[in-house]
Amino acid sequence: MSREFHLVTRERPAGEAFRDALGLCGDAAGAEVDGDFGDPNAYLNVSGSGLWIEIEPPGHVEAADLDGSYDEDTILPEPDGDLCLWLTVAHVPAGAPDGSAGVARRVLGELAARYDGVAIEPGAETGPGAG
Amino acid sequence: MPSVFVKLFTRRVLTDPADGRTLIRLIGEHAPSWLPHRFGWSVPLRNVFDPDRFEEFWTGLEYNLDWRNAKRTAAGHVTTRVGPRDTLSSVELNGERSRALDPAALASLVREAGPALDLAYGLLHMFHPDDLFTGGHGGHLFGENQGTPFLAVTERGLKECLPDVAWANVFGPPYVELFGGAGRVRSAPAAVVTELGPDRFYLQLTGDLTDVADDRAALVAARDAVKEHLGADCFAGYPGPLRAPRLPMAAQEGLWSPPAGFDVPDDLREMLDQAVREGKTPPPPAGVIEKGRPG
Repeated sequence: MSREFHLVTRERPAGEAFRDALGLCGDAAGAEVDGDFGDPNAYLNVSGSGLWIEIEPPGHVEAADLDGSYDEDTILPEPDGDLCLWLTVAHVPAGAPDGSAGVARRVLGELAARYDGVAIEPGAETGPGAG
Repeated sequence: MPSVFVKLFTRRVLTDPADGRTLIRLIGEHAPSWLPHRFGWSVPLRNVFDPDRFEEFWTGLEYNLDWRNAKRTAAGHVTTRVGPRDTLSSVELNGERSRALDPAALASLVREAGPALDLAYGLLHMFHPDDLFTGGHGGHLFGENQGTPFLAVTERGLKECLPDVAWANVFGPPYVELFGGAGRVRSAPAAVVTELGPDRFYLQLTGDLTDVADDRAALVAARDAVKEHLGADCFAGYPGPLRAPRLPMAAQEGLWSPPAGFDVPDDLREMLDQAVREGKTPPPPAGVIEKGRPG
């Protein structure tokens, strides 16, 4: 079964921070990142030995569009002046190597901590700042 | 909840921004409350529509294109015929009924889209529960998902037959031929029959879109008469064999190339070979397009 992980932040996560977070995961050592983390319409692949994650880079979405997306215990950051938040989505397709979901969860969790945001696994929410 | 639905089918690939500009111009002229505000290829929509950056909006088509209006009362979706067996691209628009929405203007949008986007088929209808596929009369304009209606008129379905006669319809050359020619369509017993060009007609069942709900008897009588006139066997619900135009598939027209490593079935291989024999130049395989695209 495919799995999805979300990161919601008030500030836009930087590509450098994403690479740093990936670097902190031992399981992602030597991972190749193909794509532009700064392009909200791109699709970015993280691959390596035992690793396959597909990422939708941060997109500036209206906070109202996230209403009802997560369970009520999940408290999202305050929207910015445009009433928007930054949403990053990591997909781990069915059949991806076993460690992929763990890496996706840790990377988005690390970014959530750095940007005071929230990392969420839809359907299995764990609350604010979780990850 | 959406209750007014437009869908436009064309053999064009629709990736040309000129087609996008035509579509947005028509929406702006006839249903400005439905103009895009946010767009993207995944939900929640990630981009703000800016007419000055139109190509950025329309190039989302390489994958998919969705949009919604500012008030969240209308949405649009474009599907291009990029699959090997696709015969038609489509544009769907839907929205809530509101004072800002003029049904007559929506009819004009559909009518003008006929020649402007070279429609093979187009429709405008308002949701009514009797038009659900469970309605019992054989037509299936609508489905329902957890209480929310959706238009159940698809490119795949059109390969079998038309789902029904909608309140407003554009029939392009493939359908005019299917129905027996322009003379047959011209004499259809509809409230409005307008010839939009060679072998392209606009048919409107009654005087007002709200008749779909408010004068059901008139709508049903006109619908059944038009169906019978054009050929009942072209519409869902006919008990015998159904008829539909046989349109060329994207692979036959040189519009598709297999991705690297794709095991091409024999029938598709034959279509590709035929396209090459006819001098058509298939596009680069998927993936190469993206890498070769200017940033």
